[in-house]
Amino acid sequence: MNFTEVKKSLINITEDMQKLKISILGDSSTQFLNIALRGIGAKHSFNLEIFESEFSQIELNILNDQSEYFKFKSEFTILCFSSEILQEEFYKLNDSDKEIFSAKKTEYYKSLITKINESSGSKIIFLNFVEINDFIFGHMTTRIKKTFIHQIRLINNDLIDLSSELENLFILDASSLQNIHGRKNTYDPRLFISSKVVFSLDFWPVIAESIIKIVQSTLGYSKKCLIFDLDNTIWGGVVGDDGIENIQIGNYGIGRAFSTLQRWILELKNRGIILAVVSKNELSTAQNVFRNHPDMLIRLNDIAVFQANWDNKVDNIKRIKEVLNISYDSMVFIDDNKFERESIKSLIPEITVPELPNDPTFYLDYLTELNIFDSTTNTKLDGERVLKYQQESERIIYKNQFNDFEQYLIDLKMTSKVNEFSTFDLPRIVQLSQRSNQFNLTTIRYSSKDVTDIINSKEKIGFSFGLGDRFGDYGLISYVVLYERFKNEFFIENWVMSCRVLKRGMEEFIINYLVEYTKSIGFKKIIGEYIPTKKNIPVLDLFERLGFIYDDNLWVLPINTAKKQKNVIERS
Amino acid sequence: MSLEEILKIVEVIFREVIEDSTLVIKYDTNSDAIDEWDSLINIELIIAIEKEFDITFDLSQFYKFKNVGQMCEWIKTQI
Repeated sequence: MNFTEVKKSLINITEDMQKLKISILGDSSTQFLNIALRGIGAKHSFNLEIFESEFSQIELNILNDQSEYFKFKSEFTILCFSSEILQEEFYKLNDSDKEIFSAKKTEYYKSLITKINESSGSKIIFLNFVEINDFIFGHMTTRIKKTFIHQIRLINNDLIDLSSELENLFILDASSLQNIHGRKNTYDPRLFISSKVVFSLDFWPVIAESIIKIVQSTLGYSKKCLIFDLDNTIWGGVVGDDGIENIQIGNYGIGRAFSTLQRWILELKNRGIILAVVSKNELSTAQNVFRNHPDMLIRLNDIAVFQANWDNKVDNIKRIKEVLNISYDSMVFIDDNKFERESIKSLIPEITVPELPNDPTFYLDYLTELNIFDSTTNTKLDGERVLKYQQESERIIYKNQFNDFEQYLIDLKMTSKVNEFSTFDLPRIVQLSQRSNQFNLTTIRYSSKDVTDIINSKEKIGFSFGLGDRFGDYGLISYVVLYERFKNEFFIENWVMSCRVLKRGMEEFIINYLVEYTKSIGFKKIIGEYIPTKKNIPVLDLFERLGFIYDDNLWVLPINTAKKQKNVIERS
Repeated sequence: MSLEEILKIVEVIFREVIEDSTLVIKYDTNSDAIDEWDSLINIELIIAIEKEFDITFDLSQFYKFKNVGQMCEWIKTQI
């Protein structure tokens, strides 16, 4: 969010939001922080009241017990000293004083913080110093003690020690934020020279967001659980379709991106974050990767709750909540699939759902930059607790489906484009045919030539189905090939669908279409066949679900008794 | 882009930043005419205009223009 957008959210502040008093004490102009903080606060449902001191008044306010600052009785105090001002002070010193600059400053900050602790109960958020290298000594600068960069780094180090020594002190790592965003984006010399504003306009919301994160975690609003998807999220590829030997993890190519993410997830687990899996997969297929893939870093005993099935993810997350007994707002959900993210966001708005970048290479940088798992404490989750959760999740009885999911599907405004096979769709049909293993009833595959033959054939007919919703177009996601095997009976030679769109009503929409078509040409029956493979377990019960009757290894749907299957997809 | 078109875009930016969707900006509008237009708002306006037109103001230009018209004319020379 840029500054102007943040400012706009000020009008959303309401009386029923949690009130909080925050003081800003800075040695530079802090009006932008004031606005950004209130705006970002509103975004997180805080109604902030802010006391802002004049920038020359920090000491007066802290040293005098009767000051406006202490009268205000803030719950949080932001100490916003800036490197630019510090630098001016540093340059006035002689060489020997320069060498002991950090020690002197740390002592001074400590005295201010101690005084605040003595005179109030306010928690203190201290912005550490962004690094400025003046290159007075070129690259020798870091080796020489009397340089500014050397002294800044020492101060930042001392602040770490101070924060473990003083209970009420929390360091906001502005220096790391500058590293992430780059000084060219965080500092605008024109604003500093003209108005003593030490950060560029759009960096203030970033600082404010971090402040609110610290506030939230001291208030106990921290994240406790990371729920993640599997296919194309923690490994590359779709294990159900591609097979365990073809998914991408490890040291080669794009696999490394997924492995790096896995390492980060394990570090979170070591820190006490509970891990849970929600994935549209066969349980055995998914768990097999955790058990037997040599490059998997996360293992089954790292996961507290493992939900791999074909139910919607909202239900699955609900189950996780029951097992773990934690609130939705302490959960984070990561998934590469926008449909899944949006459904969770809209049905369980309390959960944090980061928008993942399209390119997996950027997953980790993106997630770390969000700093979702901010914490002001350090507690460990022991192995025993993970085991307890695992047992609990086996015991849990699956409750009713999330009723709202149906309404969500309606709101999606899904439309499907139905076409007879055409040369235009040929490449995608061939690709789908080669890649799909899970929703694939007979595993008959079609080459370009096969599809061309079907297009020109009088006996066979192929239909392709597209899917789109208000978030975008998924393109061609399913096809069916039919022919008349016995008189007036259509036989489904194969039906293939992308598993990403399973359980949205697409199967129902397609069978309704086939029934209608069959009826329109005067045929009496549709016959289907399911040839089991290792991978097509997800469609084991498909024909049964769609009202077919089992008869001598085949599945039969008489047209005159076929019921319309419920779905909310419109034909486009 | 014509001066007129630039003014229209600048007007949209003013409305966003000053948070007044009915604000009307003319060539002779200056900071006296708009109460909210203080030095901080001025920074916001300039940063927003820079982003919109992909141009850069020198600091000396932050307070140089006597009215919006002068600024628009300068923008025209930059794009």
